[in-house]
Amino acid sequence: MTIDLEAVSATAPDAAVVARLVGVSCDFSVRLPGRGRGTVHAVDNVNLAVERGKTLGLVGESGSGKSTLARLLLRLIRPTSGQVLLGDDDITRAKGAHLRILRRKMQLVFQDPYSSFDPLANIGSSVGEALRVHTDLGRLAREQRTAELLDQVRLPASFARRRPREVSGGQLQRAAIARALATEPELLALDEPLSSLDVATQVQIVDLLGDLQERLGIAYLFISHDLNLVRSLSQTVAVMYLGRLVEEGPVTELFGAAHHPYTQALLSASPSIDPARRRLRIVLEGDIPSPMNPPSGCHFRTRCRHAMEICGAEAPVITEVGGLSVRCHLMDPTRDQAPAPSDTSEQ
Amino acid sequence: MTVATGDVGLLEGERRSLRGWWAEHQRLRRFLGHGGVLLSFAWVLLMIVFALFAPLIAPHDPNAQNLAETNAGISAGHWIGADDLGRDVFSRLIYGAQSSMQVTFETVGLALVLALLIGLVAGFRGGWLDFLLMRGADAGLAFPPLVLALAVVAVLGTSVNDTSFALAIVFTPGFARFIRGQTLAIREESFVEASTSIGTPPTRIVLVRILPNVMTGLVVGIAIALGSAVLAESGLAFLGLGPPPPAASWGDMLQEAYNTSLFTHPWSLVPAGLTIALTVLAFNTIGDSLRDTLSGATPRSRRQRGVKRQRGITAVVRPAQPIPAPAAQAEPDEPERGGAGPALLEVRDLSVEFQTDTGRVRVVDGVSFDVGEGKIVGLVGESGSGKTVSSLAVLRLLSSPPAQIVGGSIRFNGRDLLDIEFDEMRRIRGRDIAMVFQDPLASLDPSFTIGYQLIEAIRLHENVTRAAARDRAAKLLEGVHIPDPSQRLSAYPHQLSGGMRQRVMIAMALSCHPRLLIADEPTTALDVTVQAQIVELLCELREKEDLAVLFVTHDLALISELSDEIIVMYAGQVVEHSPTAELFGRPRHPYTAALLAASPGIRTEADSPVLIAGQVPQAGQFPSGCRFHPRCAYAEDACRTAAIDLTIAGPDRQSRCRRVEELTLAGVGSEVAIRLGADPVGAP
Repeated sequence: MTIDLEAVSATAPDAAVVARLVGVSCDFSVRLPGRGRGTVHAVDNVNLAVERGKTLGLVGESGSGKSTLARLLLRLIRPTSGQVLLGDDDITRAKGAHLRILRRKMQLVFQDPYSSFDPLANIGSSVGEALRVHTDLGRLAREQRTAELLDQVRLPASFARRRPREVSGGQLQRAAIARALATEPELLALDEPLSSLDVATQVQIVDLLGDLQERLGIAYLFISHDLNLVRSLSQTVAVMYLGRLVEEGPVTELFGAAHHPYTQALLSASPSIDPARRRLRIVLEGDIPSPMNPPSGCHFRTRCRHAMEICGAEAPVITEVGGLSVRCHLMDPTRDQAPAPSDTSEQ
Repeated sequence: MTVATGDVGLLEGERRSLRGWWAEHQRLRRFLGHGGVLLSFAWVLLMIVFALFAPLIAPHDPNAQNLAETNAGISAGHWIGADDLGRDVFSRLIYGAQSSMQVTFETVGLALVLALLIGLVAGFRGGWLDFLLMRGADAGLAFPPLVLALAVVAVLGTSVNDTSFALAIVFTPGFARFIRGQTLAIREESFVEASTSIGTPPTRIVLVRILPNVMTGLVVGIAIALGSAVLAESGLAFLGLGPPPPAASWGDMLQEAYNTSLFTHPWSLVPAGLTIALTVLAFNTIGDSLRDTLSGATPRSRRQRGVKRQRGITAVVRPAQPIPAPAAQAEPDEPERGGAGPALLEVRDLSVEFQTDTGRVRVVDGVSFDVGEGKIVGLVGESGSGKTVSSLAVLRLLSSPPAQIVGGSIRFNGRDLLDIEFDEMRRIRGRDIAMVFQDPLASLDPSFTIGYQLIEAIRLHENVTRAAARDRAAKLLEGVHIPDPSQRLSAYPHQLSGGMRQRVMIAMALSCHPRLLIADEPTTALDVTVQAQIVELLCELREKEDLAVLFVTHDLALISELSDEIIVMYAGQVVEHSPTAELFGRPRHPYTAALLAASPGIRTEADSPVLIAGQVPQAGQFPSGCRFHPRCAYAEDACRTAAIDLTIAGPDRQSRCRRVEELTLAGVGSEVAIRLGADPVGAP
């Protein structure tokens, strides 16, 4: 069956949803050297909902628009078209003081902990910034609350007096999480929070994130290019390619039997210890095309091994297959038969 | 899941903070140690004291004329003589400091306030306001500064405050542009976005987050501007636009001396002239030194004492040459190699030290490994393990100072690379041993086409014509699967994607058919899809060219796809050395096992991911005994005291663990290990 999810998601507010994007697009105008201006379609008609207390993993190659999507959801940038909903409230047009109050409900953790902290301020002042801005706690009360926040991320209170460069990347990333927790958010967007850290440190943070979600019921939008990490943290996964969502669904279904050729290639590309799995690898040709002028029809067709005539002519719509929402002409039920999903499960 | 207590991390943190304080202290000392900074400070301070307490300090009334002492020389009454009206020059210099210092500090202070207002608003707000303010600043900069100042003074008057105001107007546009530029850059930093995301109001972001960061960039400019302001004030006074007579001013004194006694008493020009020059010099010296200190440059005189300086090649300071041990090969450091001849690359007991502010630190400690012909060897470890330093040391690419190789040998093709000179090393680099780095953009010159760079690389080592080199370059690009190779030759590095650039780097590395390729995290900056392409390429090249590869990485799953052997490093030492399949099947060191369990792409026999508490210790702070013991789940008391040697732990395997015989560590299971190519008999 073909369902136009674009229409469905926009309807009835759902109590289980923290935030959602409805038909959101975002274009950037960029100056080209010597060639006037061009438009980058960073995000193209995206519908996405993050459920309360759950983790939505967002994957895709660099340049696919993942970070822009997170910033749209958090209303750090304004969409060119479409709606951003926080709970049931439309916050697409919110601004000024009103928006600043709404921001308490959604926070962001960045990839590089060092550049996300003011190098001149001590960690305590950055972690406690939200308390200063949003509460009228006195100095002592703020310090105490900052210590509690640091404790939540398993850092000692003495860290408040440290400068960012005096601590390790993993410790600072924990402090960044503490800073985000200060506003008691319902949604935390994590933009590649582990990619600058060593594996041992990654495991420590993954464990911490799981623990915090369990205790505080925060929803995560977890962005990563590391599919194994996404798999271990998320309940739902969305795959992005050149500004569009190409596949979305529960983590087991998506990792078990992805339907979109891009997802299949992406899953099979991650390095694996098992040679048996390696033999099934689909190596994509070339690189992701420029978002400034994406291929017509299906954006992925230039690297797709199943590309057909229709792929260049028409953009595919979303089809529901085996619990997954897939944007691919192969899934079109009017076609004779779709190729069986390749087994992308691991080991 | 085992939960980390973080105790080790805590201790680590405490130590780091102490070191942070020391670093600050070192920085201060470095700053003051800069040539003449203390003198400069003393001079400026003296001028300020003169200005503040002139009436108390000056021996005479600066305006008291005594025609009997016209142009008097140096005497007890007039320390540096008297001028043409018989006024005491020393006293006039002291009083001159009043107007000079007042104008200087007022000017710079006022200009700073105005410029901060303009620059911060323009930079943070942007849009039409930015446009208007900056075009205004441009207009201000378009006038010659002194002419502008003259015009303003002519309109306003010549009192001290008027002069300050006029000069401030001259100084503001330059400052404002600089502050706007800094603001623009800082506004894009993640920490500003973090504040926005918290809901901090923009004014607070500007004042609390942006302003202090702008100011650190500005201090140098302020010091230099103070010098310029001294000069400008004197210049205006010299032209007669200083404080009205009889008030003393340096410029005015210079002018009077020039008018009345240039030929009769040329000496009379010196006191005021020298004072102005020294004051300007003092401010500039302070500015220069601030710049050096802030940018981290070390003053020449104090640079890394005790390390041999060498250009283009890592210095080697070995204790007496180790006697080539003949039959004593049974020592465990020597990897066994079933009676074969010497390997292509043999690294033995390599130790590297770095000179730091706090002393010498051993970063690589007694590392030994071999890379055989056509073999791919993985060098694995977390950041700070010494894996990159070890790989750079092979080509002696670490700069001295601060690095120096303090022991061991690196035999390539039978020659010790630690014995040779720069010229010979240069011939080996690229021709026999090539290197590929993590960030291809940083390794390619942005101002030349990749064709030019490839052709240069070929012609550097081989005597071929440009046309022949060009053909070879195109073939090389084809060899690394770059589409339209002959067209791509005229592309600049920025026109290629990250994956393409890394292919170009590999093509360049292969241009002279090296026998060994050292690849340092070559795919870390790339997407998985592109990483898979590069891995496929490397495997293909090994087949075709019989290329040996030393592959440095932190990614165990990745290296499992490529390597024949794996060396695991921790805290500057090799902790495990093993054929790939056996390492994954049954690790023989707790650190390897923990890394395996922690790697998200690897599923081990362990029930759940193991949390390794704490983090890799910093070089110079390695714990006693086994360096892994504070984080090891199997550590015993004995592990904490005595250093552990690398011991044989099976065929072709070594482990640096006391308990290697008693521990059975979780691997990926024998089934996968056999698929990886483990010997079924040898597999546990």
